[in-house]
Amino acid sequence: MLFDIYIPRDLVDASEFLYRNAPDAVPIAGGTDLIPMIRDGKLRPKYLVDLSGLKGRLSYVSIDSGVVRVGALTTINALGASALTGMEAFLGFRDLYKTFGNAAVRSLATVGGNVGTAVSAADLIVMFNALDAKVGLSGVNGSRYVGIRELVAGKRLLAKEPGELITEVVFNVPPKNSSTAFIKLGYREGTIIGLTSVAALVTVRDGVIEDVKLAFDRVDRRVPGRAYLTEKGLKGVPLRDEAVGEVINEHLPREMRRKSDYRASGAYRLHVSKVLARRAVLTAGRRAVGGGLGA
Amino acid sequence: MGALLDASSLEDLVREVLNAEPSSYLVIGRRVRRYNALDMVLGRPIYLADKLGSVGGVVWLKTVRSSYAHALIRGVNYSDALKLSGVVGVVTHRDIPGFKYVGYVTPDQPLLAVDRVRFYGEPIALVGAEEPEIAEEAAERVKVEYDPLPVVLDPIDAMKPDAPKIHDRGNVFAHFKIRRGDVEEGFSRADVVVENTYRTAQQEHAFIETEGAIAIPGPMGEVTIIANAQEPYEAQRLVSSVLNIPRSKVRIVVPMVGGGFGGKVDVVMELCARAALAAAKFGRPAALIHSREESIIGHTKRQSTVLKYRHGATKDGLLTAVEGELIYDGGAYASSTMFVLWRATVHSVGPYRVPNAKIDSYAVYTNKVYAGAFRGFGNPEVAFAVERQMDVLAGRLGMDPVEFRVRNMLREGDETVHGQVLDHPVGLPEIVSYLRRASGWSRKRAEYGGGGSSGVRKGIGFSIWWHGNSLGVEAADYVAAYVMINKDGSVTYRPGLIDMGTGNLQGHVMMISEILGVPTDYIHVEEVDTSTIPNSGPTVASRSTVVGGNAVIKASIELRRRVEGVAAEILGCKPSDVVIKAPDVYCRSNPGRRVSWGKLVEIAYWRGVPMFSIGYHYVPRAEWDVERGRGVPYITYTYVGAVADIEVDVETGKVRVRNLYGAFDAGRIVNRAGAELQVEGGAVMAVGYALMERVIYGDDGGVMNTDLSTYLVPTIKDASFNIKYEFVEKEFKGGAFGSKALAEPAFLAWHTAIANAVAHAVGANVDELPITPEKVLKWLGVLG
Repeated sequence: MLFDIYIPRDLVDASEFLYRNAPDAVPIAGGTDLIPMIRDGKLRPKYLVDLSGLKGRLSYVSIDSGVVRVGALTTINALGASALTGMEAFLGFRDLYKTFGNAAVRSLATVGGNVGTAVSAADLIVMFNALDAKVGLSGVNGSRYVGIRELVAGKRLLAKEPGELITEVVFNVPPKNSSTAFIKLGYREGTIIGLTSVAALVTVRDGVIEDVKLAFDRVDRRVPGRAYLTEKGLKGVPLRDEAVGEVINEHLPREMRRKSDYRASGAYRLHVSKVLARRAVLTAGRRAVGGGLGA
Repeated sequence: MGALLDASSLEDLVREVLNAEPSSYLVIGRRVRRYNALDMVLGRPIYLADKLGSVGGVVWLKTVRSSYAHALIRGVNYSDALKLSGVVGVVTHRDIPGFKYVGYVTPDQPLLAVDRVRFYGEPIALVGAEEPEIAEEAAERVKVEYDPLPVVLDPIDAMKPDAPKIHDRGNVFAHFKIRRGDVEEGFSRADVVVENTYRTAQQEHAFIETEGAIAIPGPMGEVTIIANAQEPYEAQRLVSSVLNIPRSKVRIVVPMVGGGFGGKVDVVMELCARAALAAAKFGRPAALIHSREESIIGHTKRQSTVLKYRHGATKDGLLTAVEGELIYDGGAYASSTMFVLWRATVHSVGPYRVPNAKIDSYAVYTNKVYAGAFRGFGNPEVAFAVERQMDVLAGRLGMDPVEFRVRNMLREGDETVHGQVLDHPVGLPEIVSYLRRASGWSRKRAEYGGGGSSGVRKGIGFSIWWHGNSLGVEAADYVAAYVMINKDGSVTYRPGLIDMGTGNLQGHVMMISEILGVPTDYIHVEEVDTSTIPNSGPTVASRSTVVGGNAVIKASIELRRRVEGVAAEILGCKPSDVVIKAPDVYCRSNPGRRVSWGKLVEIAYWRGVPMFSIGYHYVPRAEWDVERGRGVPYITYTYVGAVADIEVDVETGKVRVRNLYGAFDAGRIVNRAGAELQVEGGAVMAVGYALMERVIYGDDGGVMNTDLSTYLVPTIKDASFNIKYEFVEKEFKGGAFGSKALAEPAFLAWHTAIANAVAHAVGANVDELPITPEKVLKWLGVLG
């Protein structure tokens, strides 16, 4: 439990320190996932690289020419207070804030940190999957962008080089008549670690689902993923309860494999995934045609 | 004042002294801000861990714990641990000079494991170091060699004749009975017989502050231990027996405690002994404070149970017979489970007239974390099972569940199943009447239930129950209270019972205030200190107000009399004519004759009047015939009732509590704000117990959910239900100011009403707690 703290001068310095001291150095932003891991003895770093000084550079939400860029050190609270919340296309983020940790956690946890946990319980990874987001990385060999699904390669496994830091998350503003929804189910209503979560991005035309992206905490791997078969089946389906439900009931079990653990059985998780998917698609679809947040 | 002064004549004395009717009491029955509310809210350093700042040279202790649920210990090797820089030493059972075994009732539990461990996480040794992180790392270096033994986690398995023996004397360690009439005759007369088995899970107290002890050795072989102990006097006894020193050399001090609920009774006694052992060995203060994970696996849990009931009733809705086989899983060690079992047995048929009863209750060892005291103490489990049975019976009879209760419930003058005549007011009729009205019962019962659109089904459930006050036959039931008027007129109160956040001592402050005639903010409450206050037993069983209050009253009346006497002389009127409304003191008949409180006190001191008093109250021992389960188990009973109005999402199985209605006959309410918060807090805790709380075990006997992200208690978002309740204030003459117990009863009827409401919504028998979403889908037939 004993570690030293390194305060980097800038992003380059941070990358270099992390690279030189890998794997004994880890970056810390809000620490809401890292500190419990250290306390539980699951991680024993020698150095924590404190990124708080880089907030000026890496905390932002910009929407320009149809592209959204979110700085890695943007806290969940800051994300919630940004221009994203006013956009009809991104109403799903409002669902997400409501169930993300609790007030204390939201003020500390960051977008980059949440992506960096690489676990199925990371709500933003689920949402970014639905938005086909790309993640910006910066390391000793320069910067690059990698798709969210490629980066989050496995449970607590990020496909990146030592010294590479997450700098931003980028995704497109969806086409007109699109909106999003996010639903997380837990055993209680506050500070929920989800049993199942789903994010949906739906584009509607003439009362029919023109396009849909459906992401879950887990599909068939131990990290968030997309239900491609179900998405394909939903294209062209009318935005109606029974119609959407029927497609999901038929397709989802073909591509989703849920495990049982002490918290819930696989059968329950699969069942509830179908229910939540239907509800998320319908909500996103109704929002897409001007139904507002409460659609 | 005589310890054996009858409680009800004490009540008359209070009236005489105050010369006032209850409706004109200044503070009793009102909402008064707690004496330390500001300290708590401002985060002042009043708790155990805050005391560390003033103790120098502390050795931090970390417990080495078993990684097997059942095993023989072949050897403990701590040479690697000693090599780590900063380690002060290691303590094992070999360092114990006195008695090695502990246990609240039966000493079946080693303070530190000797040759065998019986639950995953059982303490084996203590490592002491200069820093807590060093102690933790050193503890990981202690190597223990085990010979694993078969693990038994199910109490039904543990009762089988070929089950592995967890203790040499066998796995059933207590058995209580009730025998009344002839149950077979009763069942033969019944038109409807209902038989079911109910299961409840282990519950964790999850108090905000974890348990701990700081032992400070003194120069003369004595030891002072600061600990958050609900039973400081038993802690004193245990330290004395373990260290082999007289109790006069053991001083336990209890600061403000951050929640107890029964979970800080025996474990803290053990921590006191372990810390004192280490302090004696190292010759330095030693601190042993549990982390949250250690707290969850390392202190007593609420027992899990398997309760089999058979009920018979006539078509007129009258109970004819009740048969029960009640199994309480005590985990690895006995702790207070025997007492829990006894209370459960006493309450096992509910507040109903039952002509024929045959109850057999068993306490069973398993290799789970040991079980002990938790709010309700055995009662919540039988309440759940019986109130479900009553609903199922009502359903079979085609009768409204409330009407069915009314036909069978006990009234004043009735005889309980144990033959006790209820010679005190029984508030059940008023409770039922309020609940019917407030909840809109009849309308909702007809409207809700089965069927329903948009994937949501509503349900409404009803329950009543009872709770015997104070300790019954568990132990001698006495409390002391020391009140002193300082020379400047301020008042010092030294309680015998601790403050663990329930508001109990605030009730005492209000009693002192009312009787002496001083504002509550004149009164300073000291920490409990076994060197300065006589043995007052445990702060449990909701006894602080009803029993503890009587000790406070006696001390206060004595002081009042003395001060009145002096005032009468100075002012020239009769003592009964003296009005004390500090800072003013005057004659009722001639208000012009007055003296200030401060001056009066000063004069009293000058005259050599003793300005201190110890009140001591003793409750006569209860009677209980072990063979037949007959007697007078409790001095009185608190009666409670609740209605829960819920809705079930039939697709996810999630239950949402919308409205709760409650009614409580806890005698006169003394600390009204405290009482209200007990009820509301009890409701939140019951939502947890009913819907989400359970300790989950892996096959190896280890607990899976060892922190608060995986052991789920309700958050504020889970407490969004509306709640309405009423106190039916039927004065009990034996209780201080006419009060009865409330702290545990405030928790007792909510979970049963919720379970009954869910059963109404899903149209199936809810036979298990907690009611998880997956179980709801099973009951709905949606999932297998």
